[in-house]
Amino acid sequence: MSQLSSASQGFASPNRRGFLQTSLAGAAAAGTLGMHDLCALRADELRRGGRAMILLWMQGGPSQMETFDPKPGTYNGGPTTAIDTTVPGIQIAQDWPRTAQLLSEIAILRSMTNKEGEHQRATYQMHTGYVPTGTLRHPSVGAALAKELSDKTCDLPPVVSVGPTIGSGFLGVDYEPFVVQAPGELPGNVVGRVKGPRFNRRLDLLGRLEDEFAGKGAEAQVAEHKQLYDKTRRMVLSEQVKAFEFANESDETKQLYGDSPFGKGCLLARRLVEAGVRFIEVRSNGWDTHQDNFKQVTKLAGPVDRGMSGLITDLKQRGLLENTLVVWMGEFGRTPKINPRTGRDHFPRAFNALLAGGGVRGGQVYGASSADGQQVKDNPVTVQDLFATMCRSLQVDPATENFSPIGRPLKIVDGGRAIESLFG
Amino acid sequence: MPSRWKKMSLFVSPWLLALGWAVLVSLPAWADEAARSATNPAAPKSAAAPQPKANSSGKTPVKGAAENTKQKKNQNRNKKKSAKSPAAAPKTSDAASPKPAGAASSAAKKKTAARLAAATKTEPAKMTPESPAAKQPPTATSQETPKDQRARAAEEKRLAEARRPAEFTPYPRPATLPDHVELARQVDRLLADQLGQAGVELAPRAPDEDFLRRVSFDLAGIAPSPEEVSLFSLDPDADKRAQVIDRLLQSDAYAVNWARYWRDVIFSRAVEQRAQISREAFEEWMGGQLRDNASWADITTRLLTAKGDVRKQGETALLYAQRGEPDEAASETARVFLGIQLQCANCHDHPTDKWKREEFHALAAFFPRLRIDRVKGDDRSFELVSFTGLAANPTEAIERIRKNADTILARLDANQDGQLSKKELKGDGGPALSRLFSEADTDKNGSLSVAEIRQVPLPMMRGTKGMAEYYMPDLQNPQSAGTRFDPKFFLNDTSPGTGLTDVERRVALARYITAPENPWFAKAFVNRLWAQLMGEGFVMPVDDMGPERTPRHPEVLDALAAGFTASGYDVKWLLKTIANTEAYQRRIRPRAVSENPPAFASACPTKLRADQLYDAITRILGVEDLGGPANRGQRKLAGRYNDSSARGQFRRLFGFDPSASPEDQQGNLLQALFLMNSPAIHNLIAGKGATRLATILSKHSRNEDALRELYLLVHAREPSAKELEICGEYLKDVGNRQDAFEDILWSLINSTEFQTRR
Repeated sequence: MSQLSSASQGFASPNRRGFLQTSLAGAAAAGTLGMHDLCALRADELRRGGRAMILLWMQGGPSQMETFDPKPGTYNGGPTTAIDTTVPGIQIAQDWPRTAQLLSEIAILRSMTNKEGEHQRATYQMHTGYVPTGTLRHPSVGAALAKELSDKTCDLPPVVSVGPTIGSGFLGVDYEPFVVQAPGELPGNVVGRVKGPRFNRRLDLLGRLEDEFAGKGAEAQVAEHKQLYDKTRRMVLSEQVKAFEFANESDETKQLYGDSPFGKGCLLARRLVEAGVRFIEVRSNGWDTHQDNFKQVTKLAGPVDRGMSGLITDLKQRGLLENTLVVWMGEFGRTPKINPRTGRDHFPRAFNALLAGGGVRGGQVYGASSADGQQVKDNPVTVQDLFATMCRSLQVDPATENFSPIGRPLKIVDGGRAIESLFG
Repeated sequence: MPSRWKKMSLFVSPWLLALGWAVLVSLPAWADEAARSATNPAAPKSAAAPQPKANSSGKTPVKGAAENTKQKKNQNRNKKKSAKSPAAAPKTSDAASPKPAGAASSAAKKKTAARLAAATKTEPAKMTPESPAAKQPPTATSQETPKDQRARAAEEKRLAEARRPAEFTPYPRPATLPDHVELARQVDRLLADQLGQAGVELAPRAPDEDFLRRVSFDLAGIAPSPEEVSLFSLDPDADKRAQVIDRLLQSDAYAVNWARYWRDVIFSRAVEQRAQISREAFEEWMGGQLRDNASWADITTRLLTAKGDVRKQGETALLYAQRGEPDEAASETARVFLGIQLQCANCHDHPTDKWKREEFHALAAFFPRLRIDRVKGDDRSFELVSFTGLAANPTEAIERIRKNADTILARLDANQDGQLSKKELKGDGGPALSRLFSEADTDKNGSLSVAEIRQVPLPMMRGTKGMAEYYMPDLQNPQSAGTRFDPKFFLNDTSPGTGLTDVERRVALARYITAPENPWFAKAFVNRLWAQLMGEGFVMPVDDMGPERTPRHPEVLDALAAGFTASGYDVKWLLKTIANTEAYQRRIRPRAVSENPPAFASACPTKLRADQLYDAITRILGVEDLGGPANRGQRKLAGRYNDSSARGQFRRLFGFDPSASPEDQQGNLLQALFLMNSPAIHNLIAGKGATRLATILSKHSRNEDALRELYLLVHAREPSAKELEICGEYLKDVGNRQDAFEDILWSLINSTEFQTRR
């Protein structure tokens, strides 16, 4: 554990950034590398094995019929029309033109099936792989994956969420999502209120004053506290926090993602992947379309279509897509039958999800729903199957066990099988 | 943002609504009769005859008196027969008047849903004479027959019953409390003997200032003021520690502190995220109980038998936080009141403990009639009520439809085409029925064949709500009805009987749990409070005591549990006993790094809880509250049900589950960032302006005096010589008094010691 006193050495302190240290320490110390170069180096490192996942979360439960499993011309299909994609034979709903252009990078799962039809419970399950119980808090899959993939040289928290999410449960603070509310801005309290030298001076003083309490019998507590403060100091003083801001992004790139909060979240996600963050969630709210489903989805789809396609395009251009799994999903789908308010209600029996990158072969549809959308027709995919597939993509063993506070072993994914045909 | 809670479980609603119909067509008496009459070819038709009329009379219940009477005779016959079937009409007082599951379901949240429910409500009218009153305003009319009056009275009684809280009998208190001084000595003797035998040296008594800070935080949740610290150190009275313990236990801060502790215990494990809406009511109620020193048995009983509005009746919090779900309520009851983790046995026999899956589900069977309804006229709140209706297990009902497809068809097929059209089913089934119809009509030809009726889809979610009895799910076949369980308490293997009302079940459970013969009740509480005061429990985590775990120093636990039981579960008495032990009053000291360091030989530092830390910060900075975080994101995070006050936000940032082991209570990045960099703290530690630090600096021209006051204020102790030296050097190095003191205060607030109970 590095001591608080090393704070004064700031960004280029030893024993982290091993990669930079060995090959480029001189250049970095001489200040000849800008942030952009550092990002490029990080990207190199990623290409050589750093894996990450970006979850695009559609809170409320997106309608499969109005997204990637349209049923035009059927009674249940409603007024939604289908558009061709760049992959012959695959059509998606009308509101996703940019995604359609990228379909060769994307696999569609049309046979997701589950039983939880209530937002809170389904959101919990689709984040943790487990149904909620009052007595145990399961870690989100993001926390569990980040634990396996964690990049020790990264100064930023390994899990970041744009918008609220499910926490790290019993995996604890190391993997607790760092929640960002306003993508593109530095998160609150990350900026020191005093200048760097005084900040370090304070931390040095704190380190010396802590000795008294440690000597009295609280060394364990003091050591833990120092570890946390060291992590925080690293983040506050790190150049990497610039990943939260978009100052050096070109207008062209910003345009690619769109100006919406969701688009900005996607751009932030890419920047955080470059900085070594292992799991990023970007949330889009409002998909609970009990009323006026069709108009609402059109409105909601715009920024998501743009943000998601921008993200995949950008990751691809930067060579990051191969090691970064992008998943689009919500907590469930919506009833094929249109209700009297031209809405659709909760429907976990048959819904859809998208996967891109992370070794997933694009341009394919896996599974199918029945013609009326009421059932999964073939190749049903359970929540566990989906989570096992995520693990497969990130090369993490889904049977890896973590231990609950009472010592009960829990696998990252309990059961389920990865969908092998999505890969290769 | 669309309301999450208004829209929840709409998906299920068609099923629950359809249930009104399902229950109707599947009542065994009906089926039995139809099956019998089916042997006579003429019978089905005649049996079917009253059906459409009954339907139409459902629409306008008081129609022709003659027709009514005729129908009712018919219905009464049915009812008498059905009464023989426990599933149709359990012999219980609260089930005497059937209530359709559709109307009972929580689905009636939206206008449409409510309309659908109203439609299904009419259905049981065909079966029972009492029901028409249910959908009529309960006003006497000239047309009302004596039977109607009786029915109305029964309905009113039923509604009243659903909301009536359990009659409360306080737990008997002993005439005299056990001698706490004697017991404290006994505890110390036992510990000294056992630790001595193990060759462990006991840590010396903590200095007065450490003791005062510790006991003030533990009992009252606040640090002593600098004046209190100084006076206490100077007080020559040998009995001053016992006196301060008594004083703190009498303070209002005691009730507030421990109410917050129990709030965190309960809400940290809430399954219901809206549970926050009952937080204030809970704090107030629990504070009152603690202030009055209510017996832990009484508090337990009230929590387990609670009814009423969750925003008004604080005692509803525990069950509301578990959404009133029988299995969740069972797990939480065992965890909080017995220190037993039973939830593993939900799906399989407990892997490490002896509990069987059946024992868990028999415990859950104390809760199936507990329901959570939206409060009428206040759509922002919910109430705990008893389920007094009659509903079969929905899955069972649909299974029965499938089984009786032939008789159902024979009965309802008016045009004898071997198919049931929507029209034939229509009557008052209304939208609910057509919903079920479209689900069942798989070939979409507009009518249901026998084959289709045999395959009416099962509900996708196993609904436990709206069932009068508890069913253990069949894991191999999750969509089947499962196995019915009657309540039985796993620790004494006693059942209160079958078919009891909601209140009877919950009162029985509370009685079993709080019985002096049940050692788990006292031990779980003693272990929890001992751990809170000592920093470590006899068993950790505090809510997982066994039975296969051996507590450390079990004789001490037993002695305290026996005393606590003899005291009539007197909470203040127990705290007083523990706080007066030498064990509690020892120093902290470095611990040997080993697998199993000896427990209770020295004090054990633990993290302050969020409210304690918040009070400590505001007190040393001399402000009422910290003001909201400047970060708009943090404010947004507060969300809709949460407390958006500065304290509430601070609590969300620093809160942790007090039942978790200390290793699971570590701090996090956002907490550190807040203390390091938040504008609120930054502004308040300024050395100029109207801050506490500025006052201290202007009062003392000598740095050492200012440092002493600062240390007393922040750490409730004098600084050591070493600390004075470090700070003195720092002042010299910085060369700017104000800046240097700001840095010192910043360091003290950010220190481990400040955030720890030592």
